[in-house]
Amino acid sequence: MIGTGERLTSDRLAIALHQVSHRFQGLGRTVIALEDVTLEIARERFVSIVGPSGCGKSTLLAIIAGLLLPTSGQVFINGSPVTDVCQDLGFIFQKDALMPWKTVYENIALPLLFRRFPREEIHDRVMSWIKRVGLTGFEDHYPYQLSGGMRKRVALAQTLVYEPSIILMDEPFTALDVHTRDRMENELLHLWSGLKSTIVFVTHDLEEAIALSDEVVVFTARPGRVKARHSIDLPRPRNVAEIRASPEFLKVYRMVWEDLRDEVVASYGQQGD
Amino acid sequence: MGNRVIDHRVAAVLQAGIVVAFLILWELGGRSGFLDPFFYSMPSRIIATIAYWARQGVLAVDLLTTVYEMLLGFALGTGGGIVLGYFLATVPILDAVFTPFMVLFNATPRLVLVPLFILWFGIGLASKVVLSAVIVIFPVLFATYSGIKEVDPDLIAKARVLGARPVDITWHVLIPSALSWVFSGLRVSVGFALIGAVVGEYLGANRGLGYRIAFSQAMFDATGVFAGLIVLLAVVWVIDSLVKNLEQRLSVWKPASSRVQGS
Repeated sequence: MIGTGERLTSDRLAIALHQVSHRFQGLGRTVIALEDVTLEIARERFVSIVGPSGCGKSTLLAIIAGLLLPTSGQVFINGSPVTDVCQDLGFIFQKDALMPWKTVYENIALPLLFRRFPREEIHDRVMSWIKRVGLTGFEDHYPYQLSGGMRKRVALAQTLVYEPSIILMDEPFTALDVHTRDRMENELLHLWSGLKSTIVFVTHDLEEAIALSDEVVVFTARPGRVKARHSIDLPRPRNVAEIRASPEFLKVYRMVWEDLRDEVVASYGQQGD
Repeated sequence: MGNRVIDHRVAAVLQAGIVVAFLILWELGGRSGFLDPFFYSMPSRIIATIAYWARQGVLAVDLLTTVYEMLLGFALGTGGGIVLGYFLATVPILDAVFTPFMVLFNATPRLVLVPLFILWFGIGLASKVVLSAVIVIFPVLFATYSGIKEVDPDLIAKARVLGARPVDITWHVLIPSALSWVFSGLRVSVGFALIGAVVGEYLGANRGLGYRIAFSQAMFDATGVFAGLIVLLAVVWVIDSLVKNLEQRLSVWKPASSRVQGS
């Protein structure tokens, strides 16, 4: 089940990281967030990255997105080196980061506006996505008028509306209550099944990672390194609430947890330092 | 914020009652000789004076002059404050060099500049507009500055990922954030603009409500001073209601609890 040795030709790769390291300078000391991360992610895969808090998962996503340039190493998106923010990429933040002064409609229209789409096409696409994420009737609402789950749906539609080939998600459902979270996870899987996108999903919740993904990458405690990669061969389509109770799920869970546990324990030792 | 919900109609009735009781006591005090009308006047005389001004046509001239000066000063000060605040917040070298000066100017009482403004711009419209603008510009400048500096970095990162160019970030993130700060200080700014206009008139002019008050004072006419003040209060009340209304429209995107409350 551990598929580390699999080599892929570069045109099948959505994301390739070669010996990526990142250090933050702060108050007279250096924090190594990532150390020598080499990772290849094939197209149209749903890959989760799990690791203890502070292991550099969010830093990794920012580097893939081109928001942050790594201290050393190289990043390739669809075979091209990343030098700036990539236009063919979506990023769902932990906070939904909607523009509070824009309505649901205006928020979802934003990436199309930035791409100078014609007004008609913006309208058609936005209305279609509002419908697909179940927000019909809320077009003119402002973010503060929506529940946490609805704001997540706006954030999803805002990213999917421009059809990026890669979607990065940084603990997107952590702030939601359990039921909303299950629902959003199922909706995400359903939406993803109709797209050709690669998803990199960062979480510290191993159950969530396994339930959603084709592959789970375990990161070490700081400095973050790739510890292990596990293929998740559970059948699709999945229902995240049901799949968690299946014996196959538990078997996979125990195996991945073996790798993750030591890192979580190690991260406790780092807290407060 | 109070923990008990107050019925606003009850509050309005009480407010009206207090005003009426005050006016009755004032009138009675004047008529009985307890309050010397030469110094304290009486509501009936004040109303008569306002009516006289209205008949003479000076009331309309004074009102329009003051409101016109206030609006020009407000527009100039707000526009200038937004532009200066934007550049100070976004251009690091300007920020480093000029922000300390701005803080210094802001701490200087600007009313002492009135004699210079009258010297430079005359006793007409210009000196009042400039004074008004100079008072308004700093709070607007700092609101704009803070609105841009305090913008959530996640919103900028999000906009970049969504494909925003620098001009898009300015237009869709920085300016709305700055304006939300400016708008939340709108009532204060409008009040400052009026202070600028009236104080300017008070110290040197030939028309306007500030001039009317100063003129009455020079004539030892307490009734005239009070009449001018009452008209000024009415202007403040009307303008503040309008601005409050505008402010609520401009902040539809904010949760009700964070909107500016009050009457």
